[in-house]
Amino acid sequence: MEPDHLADLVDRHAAALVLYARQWCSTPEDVVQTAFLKLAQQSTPPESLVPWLYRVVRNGSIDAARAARRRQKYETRAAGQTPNWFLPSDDPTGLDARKAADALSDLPLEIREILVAHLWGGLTFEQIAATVGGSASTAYRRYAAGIDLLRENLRVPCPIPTRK
Amino acid sequence: MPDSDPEVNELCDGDPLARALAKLQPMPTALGGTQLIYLAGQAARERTVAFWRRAFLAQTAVLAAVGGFAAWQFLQPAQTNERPQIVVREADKPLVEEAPMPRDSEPLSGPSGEFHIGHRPPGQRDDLAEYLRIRKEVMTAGLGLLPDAKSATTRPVNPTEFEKSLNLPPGVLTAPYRLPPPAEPPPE
Repeated sequence: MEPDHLADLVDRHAAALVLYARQWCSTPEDVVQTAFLKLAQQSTPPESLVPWLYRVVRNGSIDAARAARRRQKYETRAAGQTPNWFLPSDDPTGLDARKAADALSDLPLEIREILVAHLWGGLTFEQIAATVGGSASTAYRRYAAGIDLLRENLRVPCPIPTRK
Repeated sequence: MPDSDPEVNELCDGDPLARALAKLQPMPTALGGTQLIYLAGQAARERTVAFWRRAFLAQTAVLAAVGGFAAWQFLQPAQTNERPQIVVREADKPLVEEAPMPRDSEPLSGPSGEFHIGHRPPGQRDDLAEYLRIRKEVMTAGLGLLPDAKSATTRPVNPTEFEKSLNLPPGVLTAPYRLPPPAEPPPE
């Protein structure tokens, strides 16, 4: 892989990948770095590059979380710490970054990973289904359920009828 | 990352909350493209170094094996090269003591296993010739060729002829026949 292409991928996807990895483990940068190194070692780059990266990051994060639990013997959810997931919003009418992160971290993991992969990773529901397993419709249902839960937690008024 | 403008981002599905969430920017990571490229290059270099290290070790092992084999081949004839021994012996004394010649009366077997049947009476010659023929057939065709053993019918021994053949006086080999004692009359 060309260095320019790799640098471009890092610039575009590293932050979202770190946010995605943060859903499982407390060392997301290491996991993402390992994923990019694995990508650089590929003799032929994978067909779907971004979904491939998300899949590798997901597997690496789960492994890292498992290793950390074995090593440190603590059961605290890494995602529950929410150490500044988002930049503070410049828009005064927008969402509060800290509250959004807290609300996001309260969601179940199987919903949260789909929200992060879709909203910040830009993956389609088919790609998410290929990454996490299951079908695209299941991924969409979980995404919609997550949005509804966030709306309740953040007390955001619903402009359209709720999908239930 | 999806399009940074949630208003035109089709992934947000028209939901204002989804758009607002997508507007939030993930914290920038300390991960830099330059650092990653450097690490990737370092890993590639380590792989190359490891490959050439393995190739060097394999080449050294092959060369050592070939050298050892060549040295063994070179030393092998020197170990078996024996100096010629000169044996000095007396001219009259034979090197190996000769075996004594067989006598004519003994049944002979030559080096090839053949029997010499000369100097024998005609009856014994026939028996010996028959024996040699059967023996030769058995040696070539196996033991299955032999006829079943049958007990020869024996003639009852005539003591008189036997005594005569042994030059014994007549009646030596005949056991005296004793009459059984007369039966006693039953007691009354």
